[in-house]
Amino acid sequence: MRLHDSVEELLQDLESKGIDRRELVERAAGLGLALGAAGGLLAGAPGVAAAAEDRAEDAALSTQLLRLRLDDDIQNLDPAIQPGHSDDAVGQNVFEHLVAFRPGTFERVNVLAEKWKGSKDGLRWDFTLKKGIMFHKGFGEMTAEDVKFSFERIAGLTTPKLKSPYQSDWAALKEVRVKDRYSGTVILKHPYAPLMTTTIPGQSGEIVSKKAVLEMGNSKFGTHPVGTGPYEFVSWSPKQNVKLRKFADYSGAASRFARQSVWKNLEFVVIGEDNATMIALESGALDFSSIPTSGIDRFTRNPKFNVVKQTSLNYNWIGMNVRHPNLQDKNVRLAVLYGIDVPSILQGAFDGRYTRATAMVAPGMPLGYWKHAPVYHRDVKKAQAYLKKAGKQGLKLVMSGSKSEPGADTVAQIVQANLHDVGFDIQVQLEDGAVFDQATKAANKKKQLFYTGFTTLPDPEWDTTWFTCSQVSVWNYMSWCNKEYSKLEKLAASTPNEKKRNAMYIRMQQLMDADKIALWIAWPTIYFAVRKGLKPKINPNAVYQAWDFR
Amino acid sequence: VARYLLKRLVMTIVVVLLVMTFLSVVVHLIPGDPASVILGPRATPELIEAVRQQMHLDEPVWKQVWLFVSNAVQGDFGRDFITGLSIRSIVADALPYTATLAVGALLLASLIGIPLGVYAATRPNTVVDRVAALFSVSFITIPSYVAGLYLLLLFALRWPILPAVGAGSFSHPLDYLKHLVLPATALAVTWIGYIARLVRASMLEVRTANYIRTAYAVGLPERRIFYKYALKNAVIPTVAVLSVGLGDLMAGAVFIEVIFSRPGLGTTVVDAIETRNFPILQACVLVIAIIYVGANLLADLSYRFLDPRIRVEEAPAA
Repeated sequence: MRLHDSVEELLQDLESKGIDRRELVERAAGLGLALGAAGGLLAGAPGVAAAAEDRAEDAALSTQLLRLRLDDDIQNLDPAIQPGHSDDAVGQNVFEHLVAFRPGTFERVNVLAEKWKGSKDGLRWDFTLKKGIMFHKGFGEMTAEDVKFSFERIAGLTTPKLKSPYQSDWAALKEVRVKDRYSGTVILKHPYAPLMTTTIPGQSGEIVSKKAVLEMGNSKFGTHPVGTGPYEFVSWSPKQNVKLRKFADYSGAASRFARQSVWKNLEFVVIGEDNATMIALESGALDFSSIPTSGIDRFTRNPKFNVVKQTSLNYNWIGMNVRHPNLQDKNVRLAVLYGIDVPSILQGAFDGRYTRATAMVAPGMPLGYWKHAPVYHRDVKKAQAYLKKAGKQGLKLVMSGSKSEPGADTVAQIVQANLHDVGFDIQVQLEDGAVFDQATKAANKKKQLFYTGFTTLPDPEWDTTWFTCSQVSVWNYMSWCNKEYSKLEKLAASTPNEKKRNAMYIRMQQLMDADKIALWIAWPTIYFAVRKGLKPKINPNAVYQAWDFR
Repeated sequence: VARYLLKRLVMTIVVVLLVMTFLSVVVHLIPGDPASVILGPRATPELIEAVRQQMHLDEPVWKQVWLFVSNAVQGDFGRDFITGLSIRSIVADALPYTATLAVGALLLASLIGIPLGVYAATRPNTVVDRVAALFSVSFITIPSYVAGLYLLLLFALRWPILPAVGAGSFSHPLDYLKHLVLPATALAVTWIGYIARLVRASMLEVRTANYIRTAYAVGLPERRIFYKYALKNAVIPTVAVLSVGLGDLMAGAVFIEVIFSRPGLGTTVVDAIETRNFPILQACVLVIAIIYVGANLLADLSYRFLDPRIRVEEAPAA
């Protein structure tokens, strides 16, 4: 009798609530019904099946839960440690900044700060906090002491000293002077221009609860973070997921520029593999994820998804080690520049979906974009002439690259074929990501022609800093040392005037181009599969804040 | 028996010690600086050096090997530099997921493979036998990651009855089981074919044995002869293979865990290699090695238990 009632209940739910096919099968199995019988229920309820499926799509986007992919597991959510982009993606929902970018833009807006004002020389930044901003887990109200602790901790000014990999973000910090419970001053030793573009609005500017860190200790805090953000940390199942819950006592620090978060829960699902990600999206296990270029058509055709794209600020290029005997002659480098067909690379390696780069700084960067940078078109005769001038016909070159760089194998093959036409003999040597990027100085000195990509932050300082003289054979694989460039790089980082900075960064790119050390390939475009009905805002650097999704 | 067991245990311990030493030497041959990989490009050289010291990477290799072996013997693998978690707990958390996956696959392979082999052996050289052979050989040739992708396409996408990613939680057994079905099946596919072929061959061999012919001669029913006498002996080589197979399945689990985004030793190893996290890598591989060696020991013991002839052969001459 009870079974009969339950079956009736199931049928009623099927008609009234529109349960989806999966729930129907699960509940039917629970009642001891075979799959066939469950199918019979569906068939026996005319019109219900289709409606149930439609409603299931809506249900997938109920405000109960938003599921997003992490392509890598988190490791430590402490803003002073956060080793990867996954930690940052989760952390942005848990922590807040004094000042941050309005979602989807690079416009600066006050979040935790009621007032934020810098001195003319850029050395003193006075702040007044909003009152009544509460930390998660009952750690009390946020005060100026928390701000001091958060910044000085990363700078290595607290005792015991924390070894933060982001210490350089706060290298200019002298101290944070607390005036009273809600106000204080950030005092710098010297002006630091990226302070307001990448430090304060970046992960190094996230405010942690001093009390929570001291109570838990650094190690535990990394996996039990306490911030003031719209979502509080619930759990981390390693290699599976990170769960966040809407913070009931959220003080609405972001309410002046963003609407209240709608999702009761956020779940970040760890899926490293692209094919598995696409299947997870299609099967309803995910609502939002970045997808590879090979999956764009698949999701464009899928009526349940929209595809959203954003060209990133990152840059991919083919570099030449100017200190290597094979590439010391500028004519050889010119032969390489004119011998490679960049549009073919974009088509072959990235399905024509990436934006061609003409210089290092991408157009989306707030400043430093070189609009009139030269575009190198393939000209085999010209390239052959340069190679002949250098007297290096038949020159053997090693083209290296990182296997973890998407499309690197195809890029290398196209370069090999292109340069063969010019008269080069190219040997391709792809290496494991950690081997290519973390090679010793001695190994970097041996690099010749290489393809790689660097990620960056919304300030050109993070584009240009790797190519100074002090970075030769460290991150400057081109071993290019230009004193004017290095001087400008240092100067630009401490120049508050944005117009002057803009001119400096353009000049630096011109210096690079004059020595013909790199062929810029792409500013990679990131594609996202977005479940219909979901409205994400993607920042111009292709990152996003899940708490702001509608 | 006690002497035999002791001898085998001592040998197992020696093998594990050798594996530990070899492992910690080999790990240092992997190119790439762990401290730089962990800290990223924005870390200062001073910080990189400090972390290298903390991870004992500034010590000579022999000392790093000694530190690892001497601590590992006491069950101490240290703490992970980034998460601050004990490495022993990281491995202990991952192990049950891989173990259930490998054991689940092995069970599934046995439950399908053994009856399939027996069924084929009862009808040698018939259409049924040939069809069974076709399926068995086809299964053997399908790599687990290919089977995994097809299973996902069919049962998570075409007919969405099973979850595509994750492993569920042990606290919800039904949910955990649902998450286990597809990956365990993917991992089992090759072994289904392999076991079926092995059992069939063993059964056919046993059929010609004197005691089976005697059983036929005295008029015992065929079903009884097959399942009570023939199968018992025919399954002995299969048991040995299954025990060794557990090690293979643990290794095969790497692909499956990545495809199904499951936690486990496989994904932990892959991540540790990518980030050059040597302490975690060493701990995981050591655990896998211990399981492999342990499975071999188990195989030896079960072989001895199942086959009295081995006991007789080993017994001292009177």
